[in-house]
Amino acid sequence: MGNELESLKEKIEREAQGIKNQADLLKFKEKFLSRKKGEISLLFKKIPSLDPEMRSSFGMEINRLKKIGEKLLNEAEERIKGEKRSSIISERIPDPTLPGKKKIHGSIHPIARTSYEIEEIFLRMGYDIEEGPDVETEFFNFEALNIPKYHPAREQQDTFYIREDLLLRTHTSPVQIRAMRKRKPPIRVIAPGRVFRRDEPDPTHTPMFYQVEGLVVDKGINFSHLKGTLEIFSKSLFGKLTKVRFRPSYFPFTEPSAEVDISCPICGGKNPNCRICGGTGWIEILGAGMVHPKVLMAGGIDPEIYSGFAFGLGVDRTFLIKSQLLDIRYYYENRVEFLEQFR
Amino acid sequence: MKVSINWLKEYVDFDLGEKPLEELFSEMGFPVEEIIEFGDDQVFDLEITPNRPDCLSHYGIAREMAAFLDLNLKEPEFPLKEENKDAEFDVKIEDQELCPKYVARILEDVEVKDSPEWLKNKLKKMGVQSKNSVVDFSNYILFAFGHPTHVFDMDKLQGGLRIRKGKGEKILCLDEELREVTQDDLIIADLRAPVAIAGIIGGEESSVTFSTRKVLIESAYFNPQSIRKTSKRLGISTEASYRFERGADPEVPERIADVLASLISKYSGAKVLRGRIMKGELKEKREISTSREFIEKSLGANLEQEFFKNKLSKIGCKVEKEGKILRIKPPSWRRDLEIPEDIVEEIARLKGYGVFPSILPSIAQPQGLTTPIRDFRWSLRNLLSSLWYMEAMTYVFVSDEKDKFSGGEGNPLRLMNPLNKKEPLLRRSLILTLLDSVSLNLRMGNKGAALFELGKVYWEENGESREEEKLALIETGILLDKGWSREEPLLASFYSLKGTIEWLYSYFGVSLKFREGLHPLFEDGYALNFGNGWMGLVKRELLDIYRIDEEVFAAEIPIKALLNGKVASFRDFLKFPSVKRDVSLLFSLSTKYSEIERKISSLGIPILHSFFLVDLYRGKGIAHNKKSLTFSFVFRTEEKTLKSEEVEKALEDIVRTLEREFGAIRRRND
Repeated sequence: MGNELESLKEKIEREAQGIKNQADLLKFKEKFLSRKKGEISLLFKKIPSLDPEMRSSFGMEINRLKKIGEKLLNEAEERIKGEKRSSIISERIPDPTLPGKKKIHGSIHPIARTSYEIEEIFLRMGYDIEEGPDVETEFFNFEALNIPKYHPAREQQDTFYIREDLLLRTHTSPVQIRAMRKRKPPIRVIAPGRVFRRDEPDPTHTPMFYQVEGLVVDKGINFSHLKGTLEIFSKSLFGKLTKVRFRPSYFPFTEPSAEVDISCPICGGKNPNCRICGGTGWIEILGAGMVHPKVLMAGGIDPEIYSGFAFGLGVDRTFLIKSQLLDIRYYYENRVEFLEQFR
Repeated sequence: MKVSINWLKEYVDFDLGEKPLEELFSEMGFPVEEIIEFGDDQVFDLEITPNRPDCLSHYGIAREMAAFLDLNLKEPEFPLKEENKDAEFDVKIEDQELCPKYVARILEDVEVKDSPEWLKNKLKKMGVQSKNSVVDFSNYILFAFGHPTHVFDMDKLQGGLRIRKGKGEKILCLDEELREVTQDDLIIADLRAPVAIAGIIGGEESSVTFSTRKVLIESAYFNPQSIRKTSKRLGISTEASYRFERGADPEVPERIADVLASLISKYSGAKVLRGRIMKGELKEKREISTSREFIEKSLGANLEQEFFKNKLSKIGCKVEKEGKILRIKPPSWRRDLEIPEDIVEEIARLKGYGVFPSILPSIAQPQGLTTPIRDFRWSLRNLLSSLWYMEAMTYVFVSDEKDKFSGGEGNPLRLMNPLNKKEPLLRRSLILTLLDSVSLNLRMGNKGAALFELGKVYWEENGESREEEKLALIETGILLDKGWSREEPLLASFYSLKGTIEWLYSYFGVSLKFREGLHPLFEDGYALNFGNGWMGLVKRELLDIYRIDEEVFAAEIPIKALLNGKVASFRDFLKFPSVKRDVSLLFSLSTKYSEIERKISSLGIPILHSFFLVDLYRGKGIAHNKKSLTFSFVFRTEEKTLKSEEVEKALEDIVRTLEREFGAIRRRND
C-alpha cells in the first residue's frame, strides 16, 4: 500500500511540474483532486477494505497527499499567473535598453537666450529694462549722442536711411537719451534690442544684429564704478576665472572711453591659432565710458550735479565666443540644423 | 594707420619686442590690427580712433610713445636755404571759413628724378607707389608728420590761385576720373579752371611730372566738415582727405611747407624762393579749466601731485596752477581736448586704465524691473518651443513685389540706401521674411520646417513711422517622420496651426473667435481672421517668388492681442454624471462646420453642456459630394442625474434641426 502512495506522490509531483497553462491546471485538478473521480479521492474508497488498525494511518497519509496535491496546484496556478503577467510586460517592454521615444519640441534662438543671460545679470544688480524703437530719428541716434553731421564717427557705422532725419538705429545708445528723458536719477537701465548697419553679410558681419546697452546716472558715479560693474558682469557671463582688461578708446558719447577685453575663455591665450582670440589671449567684448556731459545735457540731466557711465555689447558676438560659432550669418538664416543645436 | 618700426625709431628710441609693443599700443588706445614683416622691419597696422588725427603719422605716434614711456622725442632737422628772390604769386582765399589758412612756397630749377631707394622703400611699406622725387616727398611728409600737402607744376597754373567753391566745372583728377565740382565743394583753381579739389585730390593737368621745372607747394588747413562732405559726395577718400576731415593741426602748415621745400631742394636740386606766401590766419585760444579734485573724483582714485603736470606737459599741454584750478592749454594738434572730461581721459590713459580700482556703485533703491512685454516674450518662447516650433530671427528687408502681399497697415517704409536694391522696404509682415528661411531649409534638403519669430513690422502713416511687435508662426512639410518615436508622421497642416493658435489663446486666457476673411498673404477661402490676427494657407503666387513648391501655413498675431488675458474662474466639480452621445451625420460637402456649430448653439438646449467634432469621413460608402461628420455631445445638468429620455429628446432636437437646416442625414450604422 505504502508503495502505491509513494508512486502516486511522485506522479503528482511530476505532473504538477508539467503544468503549462489553464487547461493543464484543470486537467491536473480533475485527475488528482476531483472529489468523485480524482485519483486521491479514489484512495479513500479503499479504506474500508483495509485492516482496521491500518485505516487511521492510511487515511492520514491520503490526507497528507491531498494537501500536497492542493499545494502543488496552488503553486502551479501562481506560477502560470506570473508567467502570463511577465509575458504581457515583456511584450510591452521587450528590451529596456531600447531608445526612448523622442518628444516633439522646438527651440529658442541662441541670440534670445544670450540676451536673456546678459539681461538677468544686470536685473539682479538692480537695473531696469528699457526698450526703444528700431526706426529712430537722426537726432536720437546721432545728434543727441554728440555725433554731429559730417562727424567721422558716422562713417564707423554705416547707416540705413529712410529719410534724411529717419533711420534704422545703428546702436542701442539712443535708448540712453530716451531713458534719461523719461526717468530721474538715480538711473540704472539696460536696453536690449536689434540694431542695423549697412554691412554686406560675411562671416563676421550682418546688416542686423543684437546689442545690449547699459546706462547708470547718479551723483558721484566715477570711472572705478564703470570698471567694477563691467568686471563683475564679465565674470558672471564668462566665468569667475575670466580676466578683464580696460583699454582706452573713443566714442563720441563717452569721455573717457574704454574698450573691454576678456581673457580668451576658449584657449586662455595658449593656442596661437585660436579661432576666437587669434592667439592674442584677449577678446574685445564691450565698449564703454563715462557719459559725455553733452549727452547728459541732451538727456535733460545737469552734468554739474550728476555723472554716469554707459556701455554696450554685441549679443551675437558674445554667443559667438561662447559657442565658437564660425559664421555669424548662420544666426539669421534659421536653418533647422543650426537651430536644433541650441535647444 | 601703418607704422614702420624702423621709421618710428627715427623719432624716439625704444627697444621693445613685438608682444610688449603690441601691449603698449593697445594701452595707448591704438589696438594692433595686423603686423606685416618687411625684411629687417615690421609694419604695425594700428587702429586709430577718429578723435586722434594727430596720431596718423610716425612722428605723432612717436610723440605719444615718448609721453607714455617718459622718453625724449627727437626733432629731425630740415635746413632751408632760400634764394635771393622773393616768392610771389597771386593767391586769394575766397572762402575764409572753409579755408582758414593757406601757405605756399615756390621752388625753381627743379630737376624731377626718380626717388632715392630709401624713400621708395618707405613709401612701399605705406602701400604707396613711387612717382617721382617731388611727389614722393609730399607723400613722405604726410606719413612722417601727418600733414597733407600738395605740389603743383607751377608753369601749368594760369595767373594765380583762388581758393573758392566750385561752380559746376569739371576737373580731371590724378586718378584719371573726371569729376564735377559744385557749390558744396571747396576747390583750388587758377584764374581759368579748377586745379585741385581742396584737401582731397589734385588735378591731373597741373601735376608734377618729370618735365616739371617750377613747383608750388601747398600746405593749408581746411575745414574738416567741408572736406568730409565733399569726400562723401564724390565718393573718394584719400590719405589727405582722411586726415583733413578728422582735423589737421592748424598751426603746422608754415613749418611743413618749409620742411617739404627743404627736402625737394635737397633731393631735386631745386632753388627755394624767399619767403612763404601766407594767406589767412588761424589762432585758436583753447583753454580748459579743471582741478585735481574733479579729475580724481571722476576716476575714483587719488593720484600723485606731480603726475598731472608732468604727464600733461609731456603730451604738449601748457599747465598753469591758480589755487585749486588747473588752467590747461592743449597743443594745437590735440583738437580732441576741449572739456575737463577730456583731461580726465588723458590722465586715465597715461596712467593706464588697469591701475584704477574696480568697485560697484552703491545703489539707493535697487529695482530690477523688467517690462511686461519682455517677460511675455519668454512665455511665448517657452510655450512654442515646447511644441515643435523653432524660434527664428530674420532680416527685415523685403522687395516691392513681396510687400504687395503683406496686407500691412499704411505705406511701407522705404530705405534710401538699401543693401540690396531689390529689397528696399521694411517688412510689414514677418511672414515675408520667415518665408526666406523656409525656402532655404527646403532647398537644403529638409522635408519640412516649423518656425516662429517675435519681431517688429514697420510702416508709415501720415508721415510718421510706426512699428509694432508681432508673433508669426509658419509651418510646412513633414516635421517629424514616423518611426520608433512616432506611429504617425507629424505633418504641417492648416488644422495643426489652427490648433496651435487655439492653444496659445486658451493658455493666455484670451478669447478667440475665427472668422473667414480675405487677406493678400493667403489663398482666398483659406484665410481666417481672429481679432487683429490672421492665419491661412500662403498664396501660391507668393510662394513662387520664394521658389517654394510645398504648401505653407502661416499666422501672424500682434503681441499685444495676447497680453492681458483673463485668469479662468473656477467651475465646481460635477455632482451628477454627464452623458456623452456620438452621432454621425451626412452633410453636403459645401456645408461649413462653423454654420453647423452656430446652429446647434443657437438651439439653446439647457442640458447640452458641450459638443465637439470627433471625425470627418469621406470616401468609401459615401457619395463624392457628401461628407460624414461625427459629433460628440455632452449632456449634463447641475441639478440631477439626467434621464435617458431627456437626453434622447435633446439629441433628437439637434438631429432634426440639422436635417431641416442642412439636409443632413443621420447615419445609423455607427
